[in-house]
Amino acid sequence: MSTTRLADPATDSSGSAGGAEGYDFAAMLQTIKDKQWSLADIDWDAPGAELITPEVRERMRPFMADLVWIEHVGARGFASLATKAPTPEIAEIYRYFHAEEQKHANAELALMKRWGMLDEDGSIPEPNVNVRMAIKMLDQFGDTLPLTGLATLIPLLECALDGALVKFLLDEVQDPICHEVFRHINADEARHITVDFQVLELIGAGPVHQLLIESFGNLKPQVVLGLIIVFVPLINKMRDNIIAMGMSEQKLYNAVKRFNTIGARGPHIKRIPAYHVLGAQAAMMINRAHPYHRFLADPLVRITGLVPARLLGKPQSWTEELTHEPVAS
Amino acid sequence: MSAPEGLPRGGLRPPSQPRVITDGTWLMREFTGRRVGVVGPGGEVAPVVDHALASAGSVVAFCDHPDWLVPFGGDRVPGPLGRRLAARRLRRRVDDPWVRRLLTPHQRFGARRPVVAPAFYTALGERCRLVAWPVYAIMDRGEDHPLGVRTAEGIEHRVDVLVITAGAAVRTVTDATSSAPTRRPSRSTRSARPRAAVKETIP
Repeated sequence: MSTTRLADPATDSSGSAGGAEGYDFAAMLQTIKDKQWSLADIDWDAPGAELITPEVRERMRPFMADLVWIEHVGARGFASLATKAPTPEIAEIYRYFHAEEQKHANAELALMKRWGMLDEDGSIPEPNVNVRMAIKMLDQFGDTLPLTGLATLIPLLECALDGALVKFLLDEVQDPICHEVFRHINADEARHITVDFQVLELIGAGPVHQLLIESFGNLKPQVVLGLIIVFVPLINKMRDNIIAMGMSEQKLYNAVKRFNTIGARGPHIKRIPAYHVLGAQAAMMINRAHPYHRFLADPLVRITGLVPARLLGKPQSWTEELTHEPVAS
Repeated sequence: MSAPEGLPRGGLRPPSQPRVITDGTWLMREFTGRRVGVVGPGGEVAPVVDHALASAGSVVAFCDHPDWLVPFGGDRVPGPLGRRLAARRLRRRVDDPWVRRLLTPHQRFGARRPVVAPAFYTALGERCRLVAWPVYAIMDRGEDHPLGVRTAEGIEHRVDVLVITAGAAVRTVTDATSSAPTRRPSRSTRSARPRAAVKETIP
C-alpha cells in the first residue's frame, strides 16, 4: 500500500512531529486512538442509580441538561477547529476531539436516562434559548471564526467544565457508574487541554503580522457583537444556576486560575491577543462584584430570555445526533 | 453472482462467504437483505455502497474522510474546476447543510482526485446511513452475533457484513468472543488480547 493515503495522514508516525518546539502531535494522536472508550463498555443497569434521591433528581435535572448541551456545542466547536488546523495531525486530533465531546454528551445523556431524568419516551431535553443562540451562531459563523479565538475559547470552557462543573457533580452524586463515566471523561479532557495549549503555543510562535492578521483580519464586527450577545449570557446563566445550586465560587475561581497557570507555562501563548481578551473576560465573570455583571452580563441574560425560540429557526441536523443508546443498528 | 439465495439471517454461511471483506470480492457478493457496513475513505466507500444497495437490506457508510464524487469522468476534469463541479453537484443532491459539510473534503488536507460514484449522494437516505465519526475498532463476538463497528462518539454500530476498503484507517478486527457483549474488558487484556478473527494490519 502506498503512503499517499491522505485519508489518514496522521497514522504514519514516522513522519515529522510537526509540533511547537517539537511537541509530538503524531504521538498524541496515537495515544488518543489507543485510549478510546465506548458507551457499550459501561454497564448502565448496574446498581447505584438508586442513590439518586427524588430530591437530587429534580435539582440536578436542569444542570445535567445544560451539561449535555454544552458538551454538544463544544463538539461543534472542535468541528470548526478541524477545518482550520495548521497541520494534518492536528486536524485529525480535532476530528477525534469533536467525536469525543459528542461521546461525553451521549454518556451524560445515558446517565440522565439511568437516573430517570428523561421523559417517558427518552427524548432529549430541549436546549434553553442561550444554547439555541450558540447553536445558531456556530451554524452561521462557526467555520469562519478566527482559529486563535476559537482555539482559546475552547480550553477556557474546558477548564471551567472540568475544574468546576464536573467536580461539583461528583461531589453531589455518589453513583459509582457516574464516577466511572467521569473517570473516562476527565482523562479525555486532560488530553484535550494539553493539545489545546500546545496548539496555542504553536500559533503563538508564529510571526507577529500573521498573528494579527489571523486574529483581527477576518473578524467582522457583527461576529464580535454576536459572540458577546451569545456567549456572555450563556456562561453567566449557567454560572448563576450552579452557584444557586450550591457550588462554591472558589471552584470557578480555581478553574480559571488553572487556565492562566497553564497558559503562563508556554513562552509564546501570551503573544496571542485572544488569550488576553478571554482571560480578562473570565476574570470578570468569576468575580460577581465586578461591574461586568451589572452592566453587561445580567442585562444580556434578561434580554436574551425574551427571545422566542422560533425566531432562531431550525438548527442544523448535527443537533439531532445525540443519543443515549450505546448500540445502533 | 451465484451466491446462495434466501439464506436465513444469522444462519449458516458457506466458508466462501466471510463476514469481513477486505479485498475486491465485494463486487461478486450478493448481500441478500443483510445489514452491510462499509469502512474507508469516501472515494473507496462510495462505489461499494452503490453496489451493495442493490441487494443489501440497509447500508451504513462509515466514511470519516470524504472525497469529491463525480458522476463520470473521474480525474478527466482536473484541479479546481473539477472540485467546483463536484461541490455544485453535492449542493444539488444533498439538502441537509450539515450532511453536506460531512461530505466535503478538508480544504487543505483532503484534496484527492474526484472519484466516480454516480449514486452515492442520492442513496443517502432511507436505506443508507452515513456515519462520519472516526472508526477506532471492529468487534467480532462470533458468528451468532453481529459485528460491532465502534466509532469515537462512543456508539457501537451493528452490521451483519462489513467491507473494509484498502484505505481504511482501522483494518484489524478484534476478537471479542471471550467477553460478554456489554462488559468492559480490563485495560491489560484489551491490549494483550490475541486478535484472531481477521488479522490484517496496514503494512
